[in-house]
This record gives sequence, C-alpha cells and structure tokens, in this order.
Amino acid sequence: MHSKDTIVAPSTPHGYGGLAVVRMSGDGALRVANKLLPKTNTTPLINRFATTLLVVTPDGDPLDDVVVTLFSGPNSYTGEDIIEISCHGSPAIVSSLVSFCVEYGCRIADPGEFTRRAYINGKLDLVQAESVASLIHSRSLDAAKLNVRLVRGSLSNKLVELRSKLIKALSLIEFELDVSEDELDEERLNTAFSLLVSVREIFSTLLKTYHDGRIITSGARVVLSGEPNVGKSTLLNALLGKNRAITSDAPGTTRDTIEAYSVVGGVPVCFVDTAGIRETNNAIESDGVRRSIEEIETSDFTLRIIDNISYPVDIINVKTLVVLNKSDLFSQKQLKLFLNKHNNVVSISAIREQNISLLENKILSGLLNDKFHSADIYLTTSRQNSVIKDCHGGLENILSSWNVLLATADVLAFEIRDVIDNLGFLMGPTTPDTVLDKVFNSFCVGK
Amino acid sequence: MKRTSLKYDIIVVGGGHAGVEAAYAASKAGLSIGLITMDTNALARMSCNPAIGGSAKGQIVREIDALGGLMGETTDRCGVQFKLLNKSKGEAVWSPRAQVDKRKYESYISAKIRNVDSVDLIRDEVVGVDVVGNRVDSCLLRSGNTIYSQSIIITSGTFMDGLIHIGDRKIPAGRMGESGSVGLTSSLVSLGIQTGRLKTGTPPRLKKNSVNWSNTDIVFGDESPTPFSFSTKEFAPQNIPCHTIRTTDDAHAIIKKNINHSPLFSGDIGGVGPRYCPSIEDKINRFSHHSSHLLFLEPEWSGSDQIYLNGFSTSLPESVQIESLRAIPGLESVAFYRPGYAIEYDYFPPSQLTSTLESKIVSGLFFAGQINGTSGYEEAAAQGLIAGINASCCVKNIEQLTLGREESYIGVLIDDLITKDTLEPYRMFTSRAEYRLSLRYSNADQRLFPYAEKFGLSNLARSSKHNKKAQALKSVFELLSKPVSPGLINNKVKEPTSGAQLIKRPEISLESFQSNYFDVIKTPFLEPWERSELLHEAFVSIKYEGYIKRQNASIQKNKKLNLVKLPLFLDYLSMVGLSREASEKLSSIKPETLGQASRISGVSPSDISVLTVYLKNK
Repeated sequence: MHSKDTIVAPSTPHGYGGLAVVRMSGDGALRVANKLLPKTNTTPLINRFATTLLVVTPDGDPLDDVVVTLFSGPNSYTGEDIIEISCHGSPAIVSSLVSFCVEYGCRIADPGEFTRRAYINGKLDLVQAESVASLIHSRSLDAAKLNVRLVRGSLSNKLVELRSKLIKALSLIEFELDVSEDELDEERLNTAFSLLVSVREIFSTLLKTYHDGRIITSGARVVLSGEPNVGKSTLLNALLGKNRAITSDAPGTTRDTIEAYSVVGGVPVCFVDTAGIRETNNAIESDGVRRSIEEIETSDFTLRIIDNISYPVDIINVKTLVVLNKSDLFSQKQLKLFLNKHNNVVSISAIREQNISLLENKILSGLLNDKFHSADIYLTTSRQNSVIKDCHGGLENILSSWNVLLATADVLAFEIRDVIDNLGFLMGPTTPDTVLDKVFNSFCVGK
Repeated sequence: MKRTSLKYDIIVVGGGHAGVEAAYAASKAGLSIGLITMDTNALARMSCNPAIGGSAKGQIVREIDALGGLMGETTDRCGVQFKLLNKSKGEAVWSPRAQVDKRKYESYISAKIRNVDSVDLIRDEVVGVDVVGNRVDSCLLRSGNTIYSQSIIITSGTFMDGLIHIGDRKIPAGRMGESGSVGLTSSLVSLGIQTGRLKTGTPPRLKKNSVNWSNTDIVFGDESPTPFSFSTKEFAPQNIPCHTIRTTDDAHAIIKKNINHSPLFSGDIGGVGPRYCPSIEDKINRFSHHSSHLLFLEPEWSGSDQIYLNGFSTSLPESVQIESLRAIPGLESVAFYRPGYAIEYDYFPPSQLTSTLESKIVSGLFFAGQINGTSGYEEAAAQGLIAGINASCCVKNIEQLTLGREESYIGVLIDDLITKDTLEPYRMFTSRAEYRLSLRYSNADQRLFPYAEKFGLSNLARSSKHNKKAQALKSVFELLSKPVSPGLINNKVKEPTSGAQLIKRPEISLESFQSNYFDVIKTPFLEPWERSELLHEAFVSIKYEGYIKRQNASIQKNKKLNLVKLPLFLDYLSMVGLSREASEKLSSIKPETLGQASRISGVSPSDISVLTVYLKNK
C-alpha cells in the first residue's frame, strides 16, 4: 500500500473504559506521533518498545499520559510503520487524539483498512484477511479459536501445499510437452496421477468440513416448532436461561417468530421461536404459521416439540429432533414405554428445566457432523467452499477421464491449469513462470 | 557492397537473424535501409546449434513465415532432416523442427538480402547513436562516418562487450573467431538506456573422423517431412541422420574433479545463464543422481566434417573437455575443431521497450534479438521482423503492429519481454502461452495473414492462395457438419451423426474417415502436405472447440484490459492504494496498458483495481 497516505482510527470500541487504543499506519505515522509529543520531549521512539510519554494539544497543553509503541514496517501488521497509542479510556481523549492526528496529516481509516493494507502488502492472504473480520465478530470461544487458526494461516498453508502439488503434477506434464522429445513417460505420468489423486482426497476432506466450519463460525439457526401451547417459548427460556419469550397458557401466544442468541457447546446458536403450527382463521396468526414453515425449511436444525405421547413421531428427518415436553405430566411407566418405542425422542420438562443439557448435547450432535477440534482445518465461508468445490470437480473430471486425456496431453495440462487458476481465487494467481521454474528445477532439461 | 550514402530511412545494426529479418521486412515498405555489420560475409550465421524450430520455436517460425519473413522458406531450402515433434502429445503442441545446413542457410539469406535493391550492406561498426530531442538522428561508425536516419534498429546479438570464457581463459569477442563491439553500450547508456549482463554457452565442435561412429545410435527424421513455409512447393528434402551417444561415470568423474576450473562455478562469470540449456558441468552438479546424459552428434552442414555435440555446452578448460569426452566409448580419440565456451555479453532489459519494440524514451530506436535478453534464432528472427515492420511504420508515421498473446507466440514473446524481469536468457516454451490450444503451427497463417496483408508483407500470389485455402477450410467444416454415411467411417455409427460430432469422440481420429470421404474438397492450389495439414487443422479445431470456448472468457477480459491505455509517465509512487512493490515496478517499467500492468510480477489484481479507479476519477 502506498503509505504516503497515513491512516488513523481508534482500535477499541467507543465508550468509557480503563484504556483505549488509537492506531496509525503509514509512512507519516512516526512524524505525526512526534508532533503529538511536547517540543521538549527527548525520548526517542524505538521499534517495538512501549514508551510512556505525555501527549499535548497543538497549543502545547498536556492531554494525557499514554504509552506509545512503534512497529516499524515492513515487520508490522500492515507492513507499514505503525504507531499504537494506549491512552486513558475517555471518548473525549480518544476523539481529541484522532482529530490531532488528522490535523497533522493523517486520514481517518476506512472500515477494515488496516487489514486491507496488510493484505495488499502481502502480510496476509485473502483467506487470512477474511478470517480477521470473522475473528473480531466471533460469538463463541470455539469460533474464535478456529478463526485465529485461519488468521495464522492454517487453511492457507494447506492450500499452499495443495497448490504446490498441483504445480508439481502440471510441471511433469509440461516437461513432456515442452522438453522431452520421447514418447510420454509412463512413470512421470503415474507420479502426476497419484499427486492429483492425493490432492483430490484432501479437497474432498476439506469440503466435508465446510458444514461444521460454517456452523462454528457463523452460527446455526435452530427452530422450535410444534402445535400451539406445547411449550416452545418456555423451552426457549430454559435454553437461554432467562425469560426471553413471553409465555402464557393460552394457545397461540407467540404469533411472530422470536430470535434469541446463545452458545451451545461452543456453537453460536440463534434459536427461533415460531408460532405454533395449526389451522387458524386469525390473519396475524396464520401469517405466523406460514413464516414458521419457512423458518423450518431454511434452518440448520428443528426441534419438533410435542406434549402428547400419542403423537405420531415417524415424520422426523435428520435435521429434526422430536422433543417430548412436559415429561413431568406422564407416569414413569408411560414415559419408558414411549421412549423405548421411539429411541430418538428426548424427553424434557422445560418448566422444571429437566434434561436441558441432554437436549443441548443432542442439538450439538445434530448440528455438527463431527466433534469440533480447534486443531483441525475447516472451510468457513461459502466462497472457500465454492472454490474448493470447483477445484474438486475439476480434478474428478481429470482423473475419471485420465486415459482419454493422455492422448491429448495439451488438454490435460489445460485442465490441471484450470484447477490451479480456480485455486487462485483463494490464494492469488499462479503464473506460467512458476510452472516453468518447477520444470527447470526438477528436471535435467536441454539436449 | 552496392553503394553507401550518408542517409537512410532505416539503419539496422547487425546482420544476424534479427537484423536480416528486420531489413527484409522494412524493405517491403519501400524505404531505404542500411544494414551495418562488422562482417558482411556472416549474415544470418547460425552460431550455435545446426537446427531451427522445435517445441514452441517451430510455431514461431510458422508465424514468421505468415508475416512474410525469411526463416521458414530458408529452413525448407536448407534443411537436411525434418521432424514433427510431440506427435503423441496433443495437436496444439505439435512442433516442426529441422536440422539445417548452416553454410547453405547463410548463403541463401545472404543472396536474398543482396538481391533487395533498397537494402545496402555496409561493413563497419556502429559505436554511437545520436538523438535530436528524444528522436534518433544518426549513428556514428568506427570508420568515422556518420549516417543519418529516422529510425535505428539495434540487433547486435552477443557482440556488445562480449567476453568468451574457456576455463580461466578470457577472450574479448562477439563469437569465437569474431571480434566484439565496444562503445555502443556506453553511447546508449548515455541516452538513459539501462544495460545488464547475461551469459550463454555453446558445446565443442568435433572432427567427424575422430569419432568411432559404430558406437553411436542413429536417428533419422520423419519419412514424410513437415516444412515451415506456407509457400514451399515440391518439398523433398534430404533426411541426413543425427547420432546419439551417452556420457559415462568416468566422464562425470573427470568433470567433477575439475569443476572449480569452470568459470560458472569459480565465480568468474557474473552473468546469468539459461537454466533450460544448462552446461554439462551444471547438469552433473545439479542432477548427480543421473548416471548418464544423452548427447547428440549433429552435422553442421551437408557432408560436414564438423560435428556439433549437442548437450555438452561447457566452459571447462579445453583439456578437461577433451579428457572427459575421451572417457566415452566412441569418443576415445575425439579431436576438436574448437572447444565449447561460455560468453558473457551486454543486453538491454526489454522492459524499456513498448509492445512494438521501440524504446520508451528514444523514439525511432528499436531493439530486437539477443540484446533483448532472448536466446534462440527463432526468437531473434521474430523480434527482428516485428522491429522491421514497426520501424517502417515509425518512419511513415502510421500505426505500429502489436500482436496479442491470444493470437501468436510472437505476441506472447514480446509481451513477456516487456512485462517480466529478465532473470536468464528468455526462450519460448509452449507453456508460456496461456492460450496454447489455439496457437497451433497449422493455423499460423489463419491467425496472422490478415496482418501480413495490412502491413504490405504479402504478395498477390500469397493472398490469392490464402483466400482459396480459407474457402477450402470452410468447405471442410460444411462437409463435417453433415451426417457421415456409414460407409465412409471406419468406426460403427448407429444413428446419423455429423462428422463434427464424431470428431469429438476420443476414439475417432482423422484416419477413422475413409480416404475418399474428403474427395469432394478440391484443392489443386495446395501441395499434398498442405492439404493434409488443412484437414488436420479442421479436425483439431473441432476437437478442441469446447476448450477454446472456455479460454474465450479470459481472452475477452484480457482484451478489455489491453484496450485501457496508461499514460507513460504516471506518478505511481504517489498513487494511494498500490502495494509498495507494485508502485516501484510500475514506475520503473511504465506499462502502456492496464493489460501489461496486470502481467508484471508483483502487481496484483487489487493493484489493477486501484489503477482502474484512478483512471476513472482522473
């Protein structure tokens, strides 16, 4: 990024607090920082040293005692000179500091501009940069852990490894096309084939992680559905641990959908309480019913709540869990008989908060395909998913028509290059030189 | 020498493959040309291997021919063995190559050039270029004469401050036995042109009777040879064999023992050599797991007693070259006409040029060939041709020719040269062309002939033949769009299927069609080889249709970027939003279009969006 333009912004949220941080990035950062200091200041700012200093107004009046840290480019977050000023957490001090910086030549940073500069200067790749925003907005610890791994480059490193395997495979083919004057070399082709197979396997493993990765980082929508008055809102309150929804004994109390956020076993969940599904003449309520059905269709998981053991429970699908509420109203014998017959029904009492954590575990295992390990690599955005899907599909085509493609190795190379180009949407482009470099470095070329 | 005057429309400096093509192309524009060379008897000398064409290079020669150049027809006349490479690897990479009689090649071209009235051969050495304003004005010769000119094309090859290395022996020279040229580099530097140093090498030349030929394997060319020129008639060349032999452990051991006598390893050579044409010491050092390397014994001319030892490029001391070769069965008593050597020379980084090969800072000054950091006769000739065409456009003040990456290897070559860093001598490879599937040897005339007509490089006979050929190709496509009667196809066809549909099946080849299927296509104006190439071309373009369609989206996007012109002197350093690397690269290279900018390494798609926004807001 051309750092002639130096940017400034508060890095901590607006409001009162113990501390606040104002950050600058660009060639002018150090110059501006020195202008904030009294003319008599003799303490120099040293790279990566936190220095306690007084900052003054343009008139020279004391403003605040602050800690100033210089991170010299290119070894800084943005790759440019960065100044971080930790001041006392008063909105007045923060806004004065920012406005003085602007007076001394800074520009207020656009949203996300520090990360954009980091990306432009090659400090982060696209996958890492998009994970920074997700990290900041993480709603659960597990989501944060996963995003940190992505920012640190776990997925990027994996993709770099896959790309280099693809380039290796392509270079084997290009060697055949550009250098070798003999017939196609079977051993080289087999090496290329197995490289492509191994990359396809990893693509397919990665694709399987997208569902869980998305649920962990973006959260899941779980719909509470059921006949009126089965206790959906009471259950919502039990799941949230507070009185979020209005509850009453009268059927049809929840006429609109209500959304509430919680964290279930590390997964951010948006619970959606719907209007009970029943035939109704009430216009508002029937609109609610229609919305309930839509919600169920677009949700990640549905809790079908019943309060009657004569309810036909065979309608369940994988995305639905049948929950028998009001278990306290049945005899032990009745319950046992019912649950034996329907072993995938969970019985709870929302009002007495019985079996709620068992229900939470069931929700979790319904939402995630596998147990979450923060050490694993997950795809988390639909962009990542669709790119990898294209790459995987491309390799599938190549491998399934391998023997046909061998008759036209130029087309084979075209198809492999296409996969590499697709991967470039996540990692930046691969040029023909990269492939030729590989050819020259791997093979003894030239007559 | 016919005559000399003190003024020419165009001066060509150097008479190598770039120089002769430049002079020949420019002469077609009706301009007067002075070709200044230190040795008027060494025009178009093949100073290294006795072969033309090969992977990607064969396609380039076809393109040169389509644009009216000399290289294709000369190779067809002087070739002694022809081979179509890559026949089992996909039609887009089929590449013609020929072993060539070097002496015949030189004399054929020499006669061609001497027959052109508007070209004067001047035996002298250019030591300086003068400008008026920022436009070339004249060049100063070693003899003290000054020649005035509106345009100057520099094609001085490896002669600029050339330094030959053989072991620790250093000989200032242009090529072995020919003196180098000193002075022109500093004159160009004083005009603001930057210079760099590159290195290349050549193997020893053996005495034919010192080789025990019974220990070698024999390699012939194709029985039905493929020529290079679209004008060649009655093509029936010789098929003289080459021979191969393999290096041995003993030979490797001798080289390893003496490797520190190689200037490449002792650090004596500062210039960067080509990785695709490594010296034998380099091969043995870097690929020590190979116990043997293949060497080719190639005759330098018909009946030659001088043998080119392809694969054994080296700068080891002559005694070590001899000793190691004598450890190879068959070469026990080998003797040299001359040893292998490495040569270091000045080049001018081609990022200083526009896509027409004109200097960005001195107008009317063109550069072509090896001084642009390329290697290979074909690459040099292609640049010479383009520089010759464009110098004449420059003199006539009409629009110059820029070929696109999507339409030619020559376009890829020049675009790569002006946008990429030259880390080693540049050689063309098919994998450098992202639209390789459409850049076939067999459609070079279709791709480029319109330019030949537009720039006056064709003649009546060629144009008329080209039009008839295009018409015939159309008829082939029409024929193939109709259902094929079962009797005319060797494979079983259940329902009526068009030829085009059949061709897309992997099991169908051109040979699947009965020989009389194409009889309705009458082509009395084509040579037999040309007719079969025409059918082949129709077949391939149908077979690859789907892939080529997939390329088109990217071609269109590229074309759009290429249409967006960038002012030559934009202040990239103060442009907000560019990465540091991009702003530095852009301000040093000064690309002419957004498309060129996008191909500079270090310039990312986000830098291109910054430039796009900047241009919109300007």
